[in-house]
Amino acid sequence: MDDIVEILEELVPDVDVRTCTTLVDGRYLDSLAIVALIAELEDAFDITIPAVEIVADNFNSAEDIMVLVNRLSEE
Amino acid sequence: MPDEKPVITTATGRSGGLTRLHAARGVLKVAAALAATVLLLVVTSYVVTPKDNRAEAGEISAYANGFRGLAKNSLDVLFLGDSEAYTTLSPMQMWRQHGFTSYTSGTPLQLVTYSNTLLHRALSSQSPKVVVFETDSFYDRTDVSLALTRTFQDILPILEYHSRWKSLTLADFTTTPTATWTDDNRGFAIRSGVKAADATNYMTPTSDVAEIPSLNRVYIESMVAYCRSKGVTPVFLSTPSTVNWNMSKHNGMVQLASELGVDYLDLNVDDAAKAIGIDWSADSSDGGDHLNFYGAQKVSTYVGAYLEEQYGLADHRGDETIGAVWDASLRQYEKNVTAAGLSEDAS
Amino acid sequence: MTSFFSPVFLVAFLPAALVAYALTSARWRWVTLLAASYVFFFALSGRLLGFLVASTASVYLLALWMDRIAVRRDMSAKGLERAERRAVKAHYAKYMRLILVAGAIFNLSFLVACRYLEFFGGLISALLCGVGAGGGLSLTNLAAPTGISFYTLMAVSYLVDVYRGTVRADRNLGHVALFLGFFPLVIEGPFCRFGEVMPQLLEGRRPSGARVLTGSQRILYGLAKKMIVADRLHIFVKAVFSGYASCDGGIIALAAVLYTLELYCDFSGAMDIVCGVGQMFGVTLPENFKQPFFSRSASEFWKRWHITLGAWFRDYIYYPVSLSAPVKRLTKWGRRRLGNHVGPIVASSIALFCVWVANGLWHGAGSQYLFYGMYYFVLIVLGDFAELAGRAASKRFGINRTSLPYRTFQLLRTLVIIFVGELFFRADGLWAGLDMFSHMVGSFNPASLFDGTALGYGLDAKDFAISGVILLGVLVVDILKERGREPGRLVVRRPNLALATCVALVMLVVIFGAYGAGYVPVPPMYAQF
Repeated sequence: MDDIVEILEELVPDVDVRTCTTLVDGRYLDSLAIVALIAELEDAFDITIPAVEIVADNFNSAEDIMVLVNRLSEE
Repeated sequence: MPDEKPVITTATGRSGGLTRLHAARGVLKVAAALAATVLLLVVTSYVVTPKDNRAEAGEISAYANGFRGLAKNSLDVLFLGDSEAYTTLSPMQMWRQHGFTSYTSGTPLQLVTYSNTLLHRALSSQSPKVVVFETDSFYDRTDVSLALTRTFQDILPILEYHSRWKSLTLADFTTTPTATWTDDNRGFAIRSGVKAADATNYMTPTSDVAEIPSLNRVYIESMVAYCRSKGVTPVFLSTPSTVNWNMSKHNGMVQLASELGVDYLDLNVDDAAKAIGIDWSADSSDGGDHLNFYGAQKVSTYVGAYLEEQYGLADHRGDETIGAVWDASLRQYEKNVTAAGLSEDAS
Repeated sequence: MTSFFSPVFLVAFLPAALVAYALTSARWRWVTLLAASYVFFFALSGRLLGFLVASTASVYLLALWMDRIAVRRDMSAKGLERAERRAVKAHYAKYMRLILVAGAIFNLSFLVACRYLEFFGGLISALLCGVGAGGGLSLTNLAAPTGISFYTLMAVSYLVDVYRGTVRADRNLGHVALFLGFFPLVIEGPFCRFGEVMPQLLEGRRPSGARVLTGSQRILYGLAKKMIVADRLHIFVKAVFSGYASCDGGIIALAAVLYTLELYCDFSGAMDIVCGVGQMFGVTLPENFKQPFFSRSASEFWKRWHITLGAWFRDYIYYPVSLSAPVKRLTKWGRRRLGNHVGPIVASSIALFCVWVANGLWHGAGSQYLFYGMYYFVLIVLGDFAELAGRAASKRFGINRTSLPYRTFQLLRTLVIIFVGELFFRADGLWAGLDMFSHMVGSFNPASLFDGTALGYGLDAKDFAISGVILLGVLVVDILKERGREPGRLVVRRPNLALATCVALVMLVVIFGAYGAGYVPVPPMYAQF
């Protein structure tokens, strides 16, 4: 979880990433940031995030991202 | 998206009755809205209808609607059609030569849908003996959208004259429509230019039969029936044109005329063409699309004589009221001809 | 019947389709929709319906094939170790990718044949001339069925979604046919996703009075925008763009502005009709417009204008390109060398470039459309850098970037960008566009806007007045929507007011519409695609 928060803080400076639940819906994470985020996550956790997973529900909060990472790690 | 209105259920479960009541109220409201719309459309139609049949008063296609300014039931012949009609048929010449009254109600690219409108308008205040349909427009494709629009425009003039919102005056709200104006040329357009036509492939024989679009057929049959119901004789006429007419269209018209039992006169073929004697190097204003004044003179002479003989048209030249009005217009017509740099044969 | 604005559609086809739909039983309502859609398509394009059928059949079959491979893949991968599982999945993915690419090429080739042959022929000729090989290549486009640019991209999106596993391939050919041929979508979109729209199409909801009234209200609103404003402004715009050499700069600028408004009223008006029709049949179609003139940057503009097109490019070009292996490596390199903020921009620019070439070309087979795409590409990339600079500057100098003056500056700046872009979009070719632009800047004379010159292009003062009044109304509605107050909810909260609005809109269109004698009918602008 902390790794994820660290990555997010680098990419999204204006927001408290621990508590925010509208990272995508609130436009804090735009297409540009999501691409960078995905690259970092794939590196950090040795997973592949397929395009089908690029939906708001998976990226709206640090919590959502953790769930996604965990799920993809299992596959 | 919010759905239907909430259903209220009472202890005894009488929800069915209440939703039915809501539904009935809904239907009533919609009906009221529709009625209000129709009422507004009728009222606005009244306001925008031009209060005189002049172009300045907002009349659309004033020349074609000029018959409204004629005395009631004073018209013997009505010509309907597109630019082929209003460049070839001169009512004033026919008046001078035979003394019957006629009007050319033509508009550019007139479609049978508008011919139908004009016909109904004319027969509401006139009772001609003959209505002559120029056949060029029979082959111009109409579509359902156009027909629908025209029908609605006839019922609700607001759809036709709505642009008058820019020029409404107090009088539009207080006066009733009148028709005071008529064209001295009686709908005929004097064309003075000369551009030779290429008549090499003109009316080459063929057994092809050009097909009349089915929607047009519906309108043609309806107009013929309407004429007959009013005791008016319908006649089909094809005026000379190298660009617009050919043998297969002729064949199509022959077939249609025989199916409907309507007299058909084609000035592009046989005796009629010979008798008229169009000189394609001098009688066309635009290379065979339309005739000029000289061509029109020849056509009007022939058609005038034909109509008088075939349908027994009366000679009103001695008549006090009609004679005076039409002679006055004739003098103006002659001035118009001279002003265009043309001269008439004294025929 | 040529479009949604034709009397036949509104007065005959739509009511008939609605009644038929209501009378069908819920299970079969989607079949009624399919039948109505094919009747509509045939009425518009006749035998060219064959193109739609070919696309439909191809994606239906290829999707099923990919599905079969996916099933085999999952069976083979069961119970294996993580690394092995990945290898097996990758192996099958290769086959699926082949099918996907084949399907995409097959469908896109129809689009190319119908819209881009001439353009590519011209390009090849120019190239040949450039290398001295002489000779020209003259190709002509095939006759295009209606909406080919829309349904082709939707077909490709279906294939990609099946490949990615976003949706399962549909076993029913009729379903796929309805997805691609659904009549409200077929002329000008919006682009829909199979997973989002198919369930709604199949649901077969009974048309309710409230929904029909909401739909009617929306349809009439769209009709008003198109017929009173768009068709009217068209007269001025056409006159200026076809004779700009004799116009002064102020008039050209005005024409650019009015064209943008014409385009907005025409296209969003059409979308209102499309969504209103959808509503009547119980289908919520995605919005294409979200008050685009309130955008504060070019980038934001394209998230508020023709939204579904932007979403298509984002999901099917931008993400795949920017998440492809080579570009991902570039992103990481960029972040390390150029910093966290600049790095991603550099890499994403590659993906953006692809998007904007595609966007430009999608709008038309001409160099001016490519220019239009590149215009926005450059502005958006610059905008991304400017955003970084702006953030840094505001921290350093304490500028409040949420203050009203600053936001107004952003709004105005964006409006200028939009108007200039549309000037190039509308011009008769790239050279004309450049000519007009230099003309506009060179001989700009604001006086010409107020001394009556503007009244010499087919519109009189009253025309401008009524357009202004309706546009004001549109602005009010847009402001309300920006604040979250949807006009559609009016129907349920205050049905009497909604009915009165419908009556008022009908009267406005009938009286002030730019139709009839003296007006040339204007086909909907995006119907040419």
